[in-house]
Amino acid sequence: MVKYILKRLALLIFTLFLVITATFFLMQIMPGTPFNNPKLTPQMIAQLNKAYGLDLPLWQQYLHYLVNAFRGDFGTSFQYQNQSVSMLIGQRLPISAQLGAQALVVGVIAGLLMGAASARNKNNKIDGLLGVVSTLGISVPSFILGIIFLYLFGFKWPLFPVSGWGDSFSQSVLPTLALAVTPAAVVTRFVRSEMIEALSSDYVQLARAKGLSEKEVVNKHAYRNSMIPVLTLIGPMAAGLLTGSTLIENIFSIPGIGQQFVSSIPTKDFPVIMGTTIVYALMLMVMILITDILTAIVDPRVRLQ
Amino acid sequence: MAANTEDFVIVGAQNSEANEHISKPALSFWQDAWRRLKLNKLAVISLWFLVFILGFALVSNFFVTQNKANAFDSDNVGKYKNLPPNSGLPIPGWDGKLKEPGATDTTDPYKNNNVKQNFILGTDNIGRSLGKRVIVGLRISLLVAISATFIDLLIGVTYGVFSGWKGGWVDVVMQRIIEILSSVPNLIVVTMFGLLLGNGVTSIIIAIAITGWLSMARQVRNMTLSLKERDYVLAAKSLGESSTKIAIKHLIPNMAGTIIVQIMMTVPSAIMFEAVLSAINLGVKPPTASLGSLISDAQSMLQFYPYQVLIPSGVLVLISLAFILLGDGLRDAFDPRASED
Repeated sequence: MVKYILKRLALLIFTLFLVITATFFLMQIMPGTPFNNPKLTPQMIAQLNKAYGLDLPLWQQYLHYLVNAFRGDFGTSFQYQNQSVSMLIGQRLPISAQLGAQALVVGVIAGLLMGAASARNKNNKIDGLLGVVSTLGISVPSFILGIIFLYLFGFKWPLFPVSGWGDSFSQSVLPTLALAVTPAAVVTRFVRSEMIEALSSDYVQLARAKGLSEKEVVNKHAYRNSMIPVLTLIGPMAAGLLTGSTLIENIFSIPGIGQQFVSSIPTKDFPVIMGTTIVYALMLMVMILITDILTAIVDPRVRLQ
Repeated sequence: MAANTEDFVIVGAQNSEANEHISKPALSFWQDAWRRLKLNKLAVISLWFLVFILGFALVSNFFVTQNKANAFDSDNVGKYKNLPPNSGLPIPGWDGKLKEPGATDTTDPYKNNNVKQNFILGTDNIGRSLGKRVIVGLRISLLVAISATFIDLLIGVTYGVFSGWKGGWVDVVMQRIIEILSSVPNLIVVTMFGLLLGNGVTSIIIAIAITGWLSMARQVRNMTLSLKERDYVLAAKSLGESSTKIAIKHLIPNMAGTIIVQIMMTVPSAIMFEAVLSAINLGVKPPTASLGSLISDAQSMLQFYPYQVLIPSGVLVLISLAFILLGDGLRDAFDPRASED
């Protein structure tokens, strides 16, 4: 187990190194410069380049960036004066993390409940309705849901505030719901099929033959076993949440890293773009790693290599 | 206990030819899958819907050109802008009447501005027909979808078959590459390439190409690993067939079901990524409309002219819904054991 985790960590660090290298060189061949204000004289541009270390040879810039990146220092933002990228990201990360975590919790719980309800009522009206809901849930992208929620519950029936973050909990309701729908739908479909399989398995037959009540059979035997595989979904779902939250933050004016990322694209604020990319990749990799380890702990049948 | 044989008559064993008679024609894999698919009404509706949309998009090239959709009357922007959808019939919500926020009565901008024409899907903020722009956007989305399919087939299938067929360290290295590529969020890769290549349909397609084939490659590789142990592959090998020929003649046809189902999953996500790119201003170049850019452009006016956002969103959702429903149906049709009943 320890060996497995160490191996995975080594792969993670290697991948991170590749991601940093790739983003660095991609940024180098990017067209355009951040200092394109026509008022700047050539001397001033040279001075700015020097101040940001852009006059050094490429390999020195790269090594410098690489070493600093592993220390968690992604340089200084071009856009905001004297603001380090790590500080910018550090301020915004908790907001995005909270939004993502809220959405994941709401989505997974809703999915577990709906999936179980669907499997228990297999092939009747409730199952059909939940099937329609979950199919819609996976086919409507979260940013469109965000816009629809914003219109319905923000403007048409103003139940919740339409923008901002941190002043009150109600501000987070709409973005959380918009993000939670996709995970909920994915989990619903997954739990349903897992549980239908479990309900026809031998150990459930045995539990029935023992004379347990249907409630006990379902809750104690079938349901518990169908919940484990849901863990494996959390990694991929986290990736979806990252994408979704970027746009959702934009729609609801939430000051998270997604919004930061989007706003630094037109201004060509390379250090911020690179920093955000690396943080995103790291977050996703850590989520996948945690998912895999948890799955291995919970389900001993999963063979570790 | 001697059996009283007279009481029992042996039926049907006298005529051995009758025993061998096959009353129904044997169904090929595809006929069988089609028969099962037809039982799933939603999948069949989705299939016809997609065929219709595709045909419509192709035919629309002749009567709605890019220029027509982008053109606007610069002298009469005020007259034509933000007209609500008008079917010409007294259908509530689709009669060209608009309720300004805060107002109690509906107004009729068509009458007030003296507009004779009826815009079925309304107009945008500079008076361009939303219907035409949605059609152009639809074409772009479908173009992205078709390109994503080709890339999936070309890169994903080739990579997967090669990796699975070769096995050994080649497989290990190729799988590590996939693992590394998939640990970077797609959004980031797509954004990077969007930035690098500038705005435009080509850069969207390239950006999606780089990320889209990963899960196809993984699925195909797993299938190859199991199929290459089959007897017919062994037979082909011992008859001296080349690896390429085995892959094309034996392996790929036998995993066609998996491949088609996987495409049904790639396409909606490709369409969605186009919209995402447009929403962060890395999509198509401004006068051109795509479904994503229509949504993001009109988003700031959501409170006042919701139809400008809801119509392109609806089209986008319908297309991806159709692909997902058809994909579900096809999965059950190709692999009846996987579906419970």
